[in-house]
Amino acid sequence: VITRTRKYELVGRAVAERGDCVLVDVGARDRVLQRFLPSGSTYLSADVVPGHDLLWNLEQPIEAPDRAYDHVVALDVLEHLEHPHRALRELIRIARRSVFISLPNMSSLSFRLAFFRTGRLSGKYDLLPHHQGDRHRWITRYEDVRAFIEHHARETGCTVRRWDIVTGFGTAQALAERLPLPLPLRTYTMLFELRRDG
Amino acid sequence: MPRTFVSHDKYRTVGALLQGASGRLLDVGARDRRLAAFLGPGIVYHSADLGPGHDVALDLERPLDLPDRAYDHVVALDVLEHVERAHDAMRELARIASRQLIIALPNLATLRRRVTFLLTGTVGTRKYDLEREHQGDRHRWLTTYAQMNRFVEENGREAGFRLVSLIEELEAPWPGRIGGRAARVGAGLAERGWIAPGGVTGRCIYVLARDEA
Repeated sequence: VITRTRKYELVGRAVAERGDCVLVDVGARDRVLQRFLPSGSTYLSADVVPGHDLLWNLEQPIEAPDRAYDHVVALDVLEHLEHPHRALRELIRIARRSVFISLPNMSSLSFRLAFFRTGRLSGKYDLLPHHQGDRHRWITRYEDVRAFIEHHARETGCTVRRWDIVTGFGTAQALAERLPLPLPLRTYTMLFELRRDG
Repeated sequence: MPRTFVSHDKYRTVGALLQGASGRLLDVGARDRRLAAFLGPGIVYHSADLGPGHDVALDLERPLDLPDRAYDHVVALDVLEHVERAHDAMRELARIASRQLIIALPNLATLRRRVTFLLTGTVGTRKYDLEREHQGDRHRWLTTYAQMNRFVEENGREAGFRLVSLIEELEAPWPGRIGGRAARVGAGLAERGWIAPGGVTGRCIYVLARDEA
């Protein structure tokens, strides 16, 4: 819960610095981000299930023109896709000012300890007797995530800002949060802003 | 159901299982057709894979264009963990098998891999990692001992197959002779139920037979 609040709050603050805007929240679920946005902003939610302003499947090209929205936000979304590389490029394409991306650090100390102790990384990677539908498709390691984001930012001429969010779920993470560990072990969620307008 | 531990590779295991057997065999995800060299003269070998150069071209992400019970033996070694629709694929493999289905899956939660993940944040292979560009073929499922056992057994049963044998390929917790010995000791302890199973099992080979009852 704390993590959720934190990443939404961080995006809200970063957006507020930039004045009035139109923002699209991709993989919006319960549209929780809307509560954290400044009053002058227009919020649009997009998801793969109906009940949103936009019905988008990120595994396909997005039906929107280049630079269609001021800000494009995808919080903990890309790790669910089979083609996150293509999807990231599409999100950058349709943004005029910034793209905000968050990804879980699956190589944090808390996940390392969980897998070591139980042999189960998290329920989001389970192979169950029946296909669970939505799930995590990548083990997003801290160093890999940074390289992935920075590579695609460079290729599209974006500048990158990064937040390492250390609050997360579980007692192991509560402990790791307080310890002077290197960031790849301590970080629970990584948030990036890819700025297109310098 | 018999459960045995072996320290040789999957090709030799399957070769030994099919010793003296006869009939048509389809090797799904055959790659370099390596399995063929391990089979006896009674087996008519057919290879199947995504790309060209095989007897049968097939894509496990889609329903297979093959009749029911088309082959006596259907073998898929380290294949289903690459397939997004692994559950449907397993049903399809069962559908085209008339007698026997042999499936191998890697266990990514061995003690060695768990220690590797604790120290490095990878499970000892890049097949799950987010690279700068998509690496193409990769593992789409993190197959772990207890979960994959249940996956094979339940999906097999629903497709009319019974798990008749489980062969566990030992993975040494560290390299060298002492590691090999440790794996044997670990297997012995697991067999007696003294430690949780799966710690030294690098791969499971499941033998399923069509349940005619």
